[in-house]
Amino acid sequence: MKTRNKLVAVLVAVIGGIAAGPAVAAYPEKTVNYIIAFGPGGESDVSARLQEPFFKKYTGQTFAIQYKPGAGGAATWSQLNGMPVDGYTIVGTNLPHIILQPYVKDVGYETADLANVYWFHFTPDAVLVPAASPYKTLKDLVDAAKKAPGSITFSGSGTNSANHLAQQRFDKLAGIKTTYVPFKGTGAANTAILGKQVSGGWGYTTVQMMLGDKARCLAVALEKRHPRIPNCPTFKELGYDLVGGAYRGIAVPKSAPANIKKAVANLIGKINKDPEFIARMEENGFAMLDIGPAEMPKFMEDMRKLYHGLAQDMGIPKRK
Amino acid sequence: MSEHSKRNLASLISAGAFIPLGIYALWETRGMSPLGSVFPRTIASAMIVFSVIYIVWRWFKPHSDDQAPPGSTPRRLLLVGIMVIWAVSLKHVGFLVTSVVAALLLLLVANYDRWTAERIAGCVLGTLLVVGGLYSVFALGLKVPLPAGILL
Amino acid sequence: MPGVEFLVDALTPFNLLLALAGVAAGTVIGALPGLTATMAVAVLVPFTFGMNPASGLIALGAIYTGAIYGGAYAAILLNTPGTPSAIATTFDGYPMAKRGDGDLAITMACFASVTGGLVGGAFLLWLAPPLANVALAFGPVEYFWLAIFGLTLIGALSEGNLLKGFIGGCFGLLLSMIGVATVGGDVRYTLDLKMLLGGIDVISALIGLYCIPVLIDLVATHDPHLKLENQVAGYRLREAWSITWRSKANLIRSSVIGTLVGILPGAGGSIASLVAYSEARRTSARRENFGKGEPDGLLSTESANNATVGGGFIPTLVLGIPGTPPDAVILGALLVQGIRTGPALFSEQSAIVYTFIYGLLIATILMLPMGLLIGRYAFKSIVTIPKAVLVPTIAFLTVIGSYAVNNNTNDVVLMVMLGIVGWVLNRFGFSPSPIVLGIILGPIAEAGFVQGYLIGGARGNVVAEFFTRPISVGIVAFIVLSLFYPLLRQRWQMRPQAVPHPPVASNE
Repeated sequence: MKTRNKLVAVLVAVIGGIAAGPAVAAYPEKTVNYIIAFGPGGESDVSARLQEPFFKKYTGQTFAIQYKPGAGGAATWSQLNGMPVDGYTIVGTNLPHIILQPYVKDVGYETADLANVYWFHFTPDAVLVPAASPYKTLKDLVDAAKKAPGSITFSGSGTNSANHLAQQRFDKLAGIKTTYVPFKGTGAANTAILGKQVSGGWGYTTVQMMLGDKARCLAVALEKRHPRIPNCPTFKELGYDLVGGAYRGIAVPKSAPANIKKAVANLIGKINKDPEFIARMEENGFAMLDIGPAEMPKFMEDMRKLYHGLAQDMGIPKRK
Repeated sequence: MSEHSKRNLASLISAGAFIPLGIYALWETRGMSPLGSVFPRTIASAMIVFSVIYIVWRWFKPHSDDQAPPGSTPRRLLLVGIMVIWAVSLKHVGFLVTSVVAALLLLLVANYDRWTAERIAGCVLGTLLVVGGLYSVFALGLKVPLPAGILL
Repeated sequence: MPGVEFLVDALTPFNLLLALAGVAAGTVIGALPGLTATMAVAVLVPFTFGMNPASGLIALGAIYTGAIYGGAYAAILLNTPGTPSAIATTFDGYPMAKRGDGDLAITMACFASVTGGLVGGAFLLWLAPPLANVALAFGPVEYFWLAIFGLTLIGALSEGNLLKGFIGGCFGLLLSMIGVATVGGDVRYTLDLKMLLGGIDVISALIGLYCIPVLIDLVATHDPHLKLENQVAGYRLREAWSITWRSKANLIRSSVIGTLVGILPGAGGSIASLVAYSEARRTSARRENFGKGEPDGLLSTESANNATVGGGFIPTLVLGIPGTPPDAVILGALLVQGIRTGPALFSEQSAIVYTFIYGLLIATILMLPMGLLIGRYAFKSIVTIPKAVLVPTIAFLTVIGSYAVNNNTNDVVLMVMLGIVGWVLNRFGFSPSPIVLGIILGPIAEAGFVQGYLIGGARGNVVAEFFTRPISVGIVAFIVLSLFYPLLRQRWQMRPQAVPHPPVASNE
């Protein structure tokens, strides 16, 4: 009897495997909708566009990139779990957004609602000043801020965003008080830097690459200097323990079957290991990262603790 | 005379409707941060002020011009009703089906001429072609994901 | 001419074909209410990856400029702007159509758009780097005043219903605040509905507030939508040409205004055409006719909005900061192709840049025959299609258009709701333009105000920040001028009549 049951079990497993197998092996069979929770032209868009040719290389299919901006991304993320679960709809996710947004207010989703399958890069925070700025080093800025608290202004994209967090963290680390001026999107924030409307800006390494020699990077939040910006010291070198930035990854609806999640994760991971892809990303200022399903729970937990702690330090009240 | 007062009343009421709206807007700013509430408060106040001025002005200087658009109200209501149901049911029933049904219904509402056989055929065909054609352009050409719902 | 050696590259058969096809496709897309230039460009970007960068840019630029032109069709024939840039075109375009001059309007829109596009392109060719620096001088405070300028224009344009115009504008401003605030992060006016978390999308509001009322009134009567005078439906070229030529100063001025406004990142065709329209009206001898079907009004708006195409590329290419939403998409595409923007672009990769600019100019020129051709068919079809088919068609366009903006069915619902509200308000004398302009300008005004406040506070003097910067002073002067010019003008005109009369009393 036992043997027979075992045999049946094995048979079922085999049949099940055969049935499920093709589903995984064949994915993707058609165009995958890649939804970006922001408008076109931003870092999320650029990194998706950079992935596109490699996606085609490995699968023969294309992305259909769509923009669904709104509420700093919350509009899309709150609708994620209503989207098709067949793996043909993937959504770009961002940190700290998906942790901070629900922390601060009811935005229609909780961090745990989003099934992240991969974090594939981050853009390290960087302090930028216009090329003609009187501040040549980070120390100049800090000294100026100490002399006149609140008079140094920094542009950045959004409130309670990565840029904002970086500014607050640094203020605390350096013991200074600067004024953060939020702009709608990196483009507007960059214009303010170039136009000298503000003293400087909290952006990313990608912004430095884009602005070229019109802006000077005073420090980056990396462990080691970015290969493409060798002249910019890290915060650590200058004595401030600041490493981080905005992280970008891919999520699918929570109720997507496990094999679909695995397939998507594998695909993104594969693209992420392609040396040419890595080169192009770094050329644009991105910093690579590989957090797949295995590392996901710990990563998210670490991030959650980090951002909640920062929020508390910043005095951002947790929503009731 | 009665026509005049009707129009004036309508104007006064419509402008007046903005006052409670402005008050609601102001009330909602209670929970906002200082920077976030500046603009709503300013604009809501301005709206209330403008409305009050308008009402006062209109009261003392009634309309003397002409007016109300003629036309069939039932048809208007039908159009509105069809569109509302269409918009709401898109996601659930499916884009293509709801659109085709709604388009054909609107065809009926918009038509004033007598229905001859060729007219029916021509109009229905034309409508279906347009809807189908545009749908294809969007769904297939531009790869816009139109919701499928229960049906298509 | 700078880079003229690359003109040849722009004239290759492939590039010419791209320019032609792009302009044609763009015109059709722009004409359909609900489809915008941004959408058109975004969808076609992947196709350009297979081409060399210059050709890809030419294709995208051609579509962009065609779409801005095409928006005029719906504005003129259906009183619905095909793109936000065409809002001001409805002011005179639709009255002209209702009067039987629809074909004339379409032809003139073509002339104006081509002129505007050429002027914008010329600025791009010759003056890109210096003008980019001008763009940088515009800070939050300047944007704030610019938005206020736009808002006062709304009021000034709703003559007779000035107060209703302002009320409508305020209503639009409040609508723009629904959602998450950029500064402060507050969630405002969402009535706890997830649907409203993203705020009210401009395009959905545009379609709803303009198009739905038109539909509602279309079904109400049996009369044909537009009159067709004789069996003409022709081009009325000579007539259009003579009016256009007579108005050349207006055309040039409006094109320059459009280019300059297009240079400012974030200010698009809607603001440009509004400012140009207001200036045209202010300086025209026929100002009373503006808003009732005055050709000069149409010429000013259509030239200004097409000039923003060339103007918008200036900050995009020189600074890497998109001038208008389609530019943001194009910028992304450039980055992926490995093209780094910046002044170096003009010197190191001059082949790509100049080939593109010449290609854009050629596409604009090609828009003349293409535009006239497509325009004729557009006009003919709108006029001859029986209402019974026109209504479902437009209704379907509104639904699919508002959906396609963000792939969100909520936008469709919002569109219909706003449409109903819009019709009701229209009945009571509140026109849709102030409301839509309020929605567009609200975020710009608010961001400018709060950012200026923060920066001024950091510098120690908020009031000085707002009132002493040179460009701001200039804009404020314009605001005052626009508001009080009509009154001043009346005063001046009354003076000569007073002279012949003998002085009445010495203490006059």
